[in-house]
Amino acid sequence: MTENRAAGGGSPADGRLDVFALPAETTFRFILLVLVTLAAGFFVADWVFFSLGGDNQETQTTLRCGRLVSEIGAADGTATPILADCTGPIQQRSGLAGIAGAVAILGLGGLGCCIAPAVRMRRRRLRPLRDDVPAVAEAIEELCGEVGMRRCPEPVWNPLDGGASALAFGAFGRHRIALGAGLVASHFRAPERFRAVLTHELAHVRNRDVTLTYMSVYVWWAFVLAGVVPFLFTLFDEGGDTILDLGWRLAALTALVYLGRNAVLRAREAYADARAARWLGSPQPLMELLGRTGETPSARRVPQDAVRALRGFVAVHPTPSLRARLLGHPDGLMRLSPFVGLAAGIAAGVSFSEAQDATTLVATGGAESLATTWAALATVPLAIGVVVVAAWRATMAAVVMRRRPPTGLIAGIAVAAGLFVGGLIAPGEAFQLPGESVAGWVDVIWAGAVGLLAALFTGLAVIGAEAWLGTVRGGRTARAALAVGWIVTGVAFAWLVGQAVPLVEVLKLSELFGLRAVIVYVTSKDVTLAVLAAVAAFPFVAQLIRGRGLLPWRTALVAVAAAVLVFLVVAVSWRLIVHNTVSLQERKTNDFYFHYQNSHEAIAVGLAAAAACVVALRGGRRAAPLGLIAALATVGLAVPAFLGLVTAASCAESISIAPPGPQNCPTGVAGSYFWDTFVRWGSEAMLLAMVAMLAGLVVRRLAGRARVAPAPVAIATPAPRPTVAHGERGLALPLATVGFGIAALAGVVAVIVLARAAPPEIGVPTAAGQLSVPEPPSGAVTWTDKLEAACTRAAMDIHAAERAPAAQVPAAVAQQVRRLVGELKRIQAPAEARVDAATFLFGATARHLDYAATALSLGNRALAQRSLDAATKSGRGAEKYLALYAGAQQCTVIGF
Amino acid sequence: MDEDLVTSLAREMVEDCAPEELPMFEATSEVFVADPDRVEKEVAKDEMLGFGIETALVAIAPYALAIARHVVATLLEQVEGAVAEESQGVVRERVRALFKRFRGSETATEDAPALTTEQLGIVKAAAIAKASELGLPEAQGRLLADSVAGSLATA
Repeated sequence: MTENRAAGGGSPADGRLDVFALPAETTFRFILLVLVTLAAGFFVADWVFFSLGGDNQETQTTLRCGRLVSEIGAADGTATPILADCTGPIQQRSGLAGIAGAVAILGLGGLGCCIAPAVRMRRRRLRPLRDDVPAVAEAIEELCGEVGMRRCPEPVWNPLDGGASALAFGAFGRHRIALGAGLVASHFRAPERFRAVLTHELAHVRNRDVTLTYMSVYVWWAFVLAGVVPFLFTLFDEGGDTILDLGWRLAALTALVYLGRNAVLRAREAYADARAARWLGSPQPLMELLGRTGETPSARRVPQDAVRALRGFVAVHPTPSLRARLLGHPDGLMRLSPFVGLAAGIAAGVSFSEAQDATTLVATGGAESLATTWAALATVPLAIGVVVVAAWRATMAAVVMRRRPPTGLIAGIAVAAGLFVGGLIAPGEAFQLPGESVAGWVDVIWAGAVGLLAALFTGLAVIGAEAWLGTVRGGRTARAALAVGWIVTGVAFAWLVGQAVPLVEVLKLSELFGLRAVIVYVTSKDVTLAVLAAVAAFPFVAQLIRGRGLLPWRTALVAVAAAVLVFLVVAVSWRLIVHNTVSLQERKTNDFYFHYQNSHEAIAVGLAAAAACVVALRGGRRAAPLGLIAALATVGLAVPAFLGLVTAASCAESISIAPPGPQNCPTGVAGSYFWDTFVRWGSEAMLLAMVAMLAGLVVRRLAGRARVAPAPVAIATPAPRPTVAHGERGLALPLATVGFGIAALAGVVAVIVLARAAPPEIGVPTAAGQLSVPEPPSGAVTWTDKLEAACTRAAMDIHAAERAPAAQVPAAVAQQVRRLVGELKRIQAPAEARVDAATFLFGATARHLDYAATALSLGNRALAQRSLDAATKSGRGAEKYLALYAGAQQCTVIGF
Repeated sequence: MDEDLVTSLAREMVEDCAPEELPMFEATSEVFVADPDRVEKEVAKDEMLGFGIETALVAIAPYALAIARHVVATLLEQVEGAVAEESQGVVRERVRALFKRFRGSETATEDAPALTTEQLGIVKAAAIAKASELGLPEAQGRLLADSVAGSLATA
């Protein structure tokens, strides 16, 4: 037996498909299942921490810190950092307790995974086959050699188990295969059947299924036993609503993990069949076992009755008919399924929600504004990885089978939908404030935006797959390209989501600033432009390597030139018109300046997107990366053109907006301003270009005028990797056992110690050189104390956030608001968020408020205040702020 | 319980019905003697990382041992009832003598007993019942029962 390519082991030469040429997305799915369990574990551990004493610690510390500030007579400006420093440690302690709990669950789960094989050996009375039936053991060893496994899993059996079952188990390199006596007997009675079953089990070991499977199982059990059980005891003093809110979420999580795990296991069974068929040289022996002898399985699904279909959702093996069909048509293992994307999105959404809580609590100082981004980077790329890997596999299969490759759009939307749903069922989202809606207009627009973004990124990933698979000539290079594609797409999507989420959450509470402010905030970051450029460049580089003939270069150059020319004409004309029709007094107002600059920004971004759209319509979807590059190039020329006009206008009064003085000619433009403008316009242009290209291609297709781009002439099917040795590995299991054991013990001890510890020591030096330490509050902590502590802490946190670096202020403030909302929920305060106005705004316009929001997002508080002042023409002052009320008591405010 | 008799009877049954299992018989009988009540058949066909398909293929040896033990126990009961005042050793010898295999041995008595047809039927039914209790398919149970019957001496 050799690494025969039949039945799932095709080669480029004979046109058959190699299902193992690229990694399977099931590994990401397994990791997501473990991650969502740990995320739920964080929530549960944090809850238990508060129940065991963390709640009193936090309240006492906050009260003491607030009274300390009053004692030392700190003015508002100095009180803020004092209180922030004073309460920071207790906030961190809460976050650390949650993280310690998650570590404990991981440790317990891993420990269970390491110990379980020994327990299974005892419970099932398994013994080494080599000692009892050496002939069969040697046959298995020979089989391992034939398939290229240098270290064979140890065969074990129970002589008194007459059945013909087989099972792979073990952990961390120590693998075993348990055989029933009936299967051992089949070695003598029906050798082909014996070989078929054994190769299937060896394929599980080769495919690295064993450790991943049992880790996902035992981490879940560790969560249930070490997390949910103690958590349930803390619910006795909670209200019915709380129990219901948390209960259905935990039930939904249970179903998600259980059904998700079984779905992954069914997929892994099919992969094991495919590899076994390759080793056997034919799928026939396996088909005989599946009861499908003499049939050529149809590629079409056979309708099943409802009961069988439902049973299929909980089974860990596909039905025999499906297994046979996949053996005959291995391209079925290389599809891009929206349901898989949806499940991955849900798991990532739950994980992201809890990770966000963890990072928010633990991050201090300037790191707070990046807390959500870190949480997104830790979770979202895994969901993206599922669809990117599946997209690459589906693309490869489509080209080899001469079918149309998938677009990836539906799968991307499914991931985004999953993220949204996951965010709703995360345990930390169990409570809703009055007025905080689940499906308000902000949620709808945000969900739509994320869905569109995910669809676009997945679509670009498919284009990248086509480009790179048509370029590389080796298996290792193809897998490296896939890894880079995943990283680029995952990081880009996670960055954009992580940056926008904090602002969107504040937006849900009130229309403090518009959606545009969110867009401006995100697109102003250098990293945003970098990740968007990387997403475009990844497929583009492969297309360049393949040859420039496939792309509409001339169209791109013409489109860019035309767009820049139009922009110049518009810009100059507009200046002339403004100079001659708008009064100088009006031209000198900030309102006009904002309007003027923003309009040019919109025109440049729109023209850049139009240029991209033209390129895509000319070259088809494969020209999308070139379209994005064209959009960036357009902006790259428009920005200097725009700023060049500013310089020219400083010397030419006829086109000036503000009258130039002789000393201002020529007025230079700071390099940082040029760069900031290019970054923002470029990011906006690329995002709009993606949408424009998609819309244009869809319309064209619906109109029946879709341009079919030439398919790649040939696509390299990467050669299979040499079989890696698995089986006995000396130290991996003992080290893993010790490591997980230490993690479990340390995590549990940490949660208990943190909860039972005394509140942290606090105090500040005074002018007299002594340490001022306030008295602890007397008596038990009351609910009123808790509310006072929460509001005191929040007020100072928000003030501290407003002192963050200018570009980070909106996100930092949003983080603190989010934390306060969570705190009020936790102490069951009847909280309500609303926008208050100090005075009635007469003649104010939404546009002025929008300018104020924009200015604030750019960190220009003075300009924001002037914009608000300008909002009224009657001279009355205007002040608008977000207030959070607990009943009738105003808890805290956020003002301009 | 005469474990040697049980093992010998079972070996004969395996030789008759599934001679290819002889290489695994020694180990099976060793484990069986240590824990005779543990003959089973794993029915979990949808186990994680298993093959996932249940087949009718079974190993005969463990069932043969269990059936042999049950048959010997049945015969011991019957012989004990007939020769209530005899010692255990004599009872065992009489039971051994019921089997053709041991009839020519030095330990066999001259007037070695034999089973009537009716008694043979009872023994055979006991064997089939035991096979059914263990979950063995009916056809294989009858095969083993026939093998047991074939190894017994009849009047």
